[in-house]
Amino acid sequence: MSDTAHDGQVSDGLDLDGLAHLARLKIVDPTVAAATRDQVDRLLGHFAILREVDTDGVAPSAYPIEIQNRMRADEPSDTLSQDQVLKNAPQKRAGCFLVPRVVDG
Amino acid sequence: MTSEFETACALAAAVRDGSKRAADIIDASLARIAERNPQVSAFVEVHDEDARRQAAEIDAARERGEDPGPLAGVPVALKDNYVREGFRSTCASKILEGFVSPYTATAVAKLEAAGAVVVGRTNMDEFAMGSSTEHSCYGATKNPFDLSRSPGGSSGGSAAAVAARMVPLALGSDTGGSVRQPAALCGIAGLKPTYGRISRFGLIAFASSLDTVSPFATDVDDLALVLSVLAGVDPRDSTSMDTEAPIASVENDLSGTRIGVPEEYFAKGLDAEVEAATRAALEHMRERGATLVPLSMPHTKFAIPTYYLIATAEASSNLSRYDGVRFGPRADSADDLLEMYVATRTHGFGPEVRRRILLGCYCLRQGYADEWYVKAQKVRTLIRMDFDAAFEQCDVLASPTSPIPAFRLGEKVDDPLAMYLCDTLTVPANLAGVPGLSLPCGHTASGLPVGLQLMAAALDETTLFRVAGAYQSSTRFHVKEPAP
Repeated sequence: MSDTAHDGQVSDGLDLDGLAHLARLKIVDPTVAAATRDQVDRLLGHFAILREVDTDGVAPSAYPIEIQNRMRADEPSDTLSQDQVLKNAPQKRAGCFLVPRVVDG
Repeated sequence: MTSEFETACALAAAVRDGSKRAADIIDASLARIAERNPQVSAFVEVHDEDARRQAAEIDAARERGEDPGPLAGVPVALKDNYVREGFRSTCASKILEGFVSPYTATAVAKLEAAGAVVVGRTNMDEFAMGSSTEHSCYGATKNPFDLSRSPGGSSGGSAAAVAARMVPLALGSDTGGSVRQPAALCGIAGLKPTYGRISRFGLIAFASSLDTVSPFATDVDDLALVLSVLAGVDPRDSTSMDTEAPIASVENDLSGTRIGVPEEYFAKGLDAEVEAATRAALEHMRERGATLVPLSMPHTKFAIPTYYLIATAEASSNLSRYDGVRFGPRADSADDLLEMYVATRTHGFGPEVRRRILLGCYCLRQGYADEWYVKAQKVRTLIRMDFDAAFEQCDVLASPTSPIPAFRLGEKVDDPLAMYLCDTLTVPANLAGVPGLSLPCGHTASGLPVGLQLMAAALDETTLFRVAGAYQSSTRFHVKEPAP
């Protein structure tokens, strides 16, 4: 994929399949893929207006308020039971979430 | 029924003094839902039995001489992104189909402890991503003022439920305007409190640095009452703040109040009738003693890209938990873990959610984050500084809530950018963390409601309530109901 974020074109050559892989999504229908590429491209084109803003020396805001770490006494307290936690699992076995095989053998 | 509508303040007072029974109030609300919901599609589920049982418990408690709470017997609707133990929550998404929560959101627990009765869950844009309540696995909600139009979104179900007088109170969530904009389009009041004022525990996350538990009501007094119940620190939300809840003070005198009028909020693209109603509201407040202060907030035009970059980045991270392992339906065609994730998510998320996850991944990916995500966080700082500078010159800021009145269903659903621009006037308050309130200030020639947005400095909801209360007490826009 071209280095799209660093040239003049905002997302020319957008690697939609690569992006979908990162997002754990799949876009199979070519019409949907083309429409998605167009929409993402148009949005990024609009968002590129931020390049106009001089942000030298400006600190980024992760939150709108000042956040402090909040400490508490390290004491046991009630939490959800194993049964409650597993209640919504699509597949479970022996008190665990069951998933397709990850390791062969 | 319509003319019998009473506010949450009035209903709770009546239950507390014994002049009304909670059971009768809940029955009336359920009857109203049965009558109006088939046209409006505000509720996606109604909890008849649970609501009646809770109402009976409230009446029994009062008869035993116990305090039934400040919201005694008040019917409340919950947006479908709050969890309550034993109730379904889906965020209007197929990916949470069948999910029954094992725990209760702090906001919901507080409402119930105060005597409110949850009567059902309401429709929304999937995962709160949208401004029209059309991006929902349940279909669209209709605006009670014109059933061919959108109620706004993403909390359109809760807004429509209050506007159609099915309930006097409802919870929505406001990440970029998702309560204020539908409040404006549906002719009711909506409050986005200061970020951190109310615990987000149990509000299913969309964009964690922006999400705000936010109520709807028909008037400012009810918003103040419900905020006094919901506010406060929660050990389960590290961003919640330990502050005294503000008290509403409804006065009719605005002498000495400085109302900032940011020129950027009246820019090109603003509907002429919306502008006229807003300017008339400003003039109304000036006649009651307020001073209007024209000012500039120069980074406003960058708020939409800043918001959408930050919100989609946070969403792409928050929504990674929907993988078919712990909850929700799993695509069972796959026999490989990665394939299972991909098939589950591709089938479970709707097109707008998929689009936003892709955008979020784009601006967070290696080599791109500084240019997009960190850049947006820096512009966010400049937008916060605009608010700091404005509040040195004024006590509240006033603007239209939405640049346009309610639009037709289907009009914007295939044009993401047009939909995103609906949020132009509401996203800045989320980026800055300041409180914002929308209240009715007029109607278009065709009878569609127009909302006035007021914004105050962080934690200054008291001033917001004072100014909004003064406006409301000398106008009648908030009592206009949609035709039955």
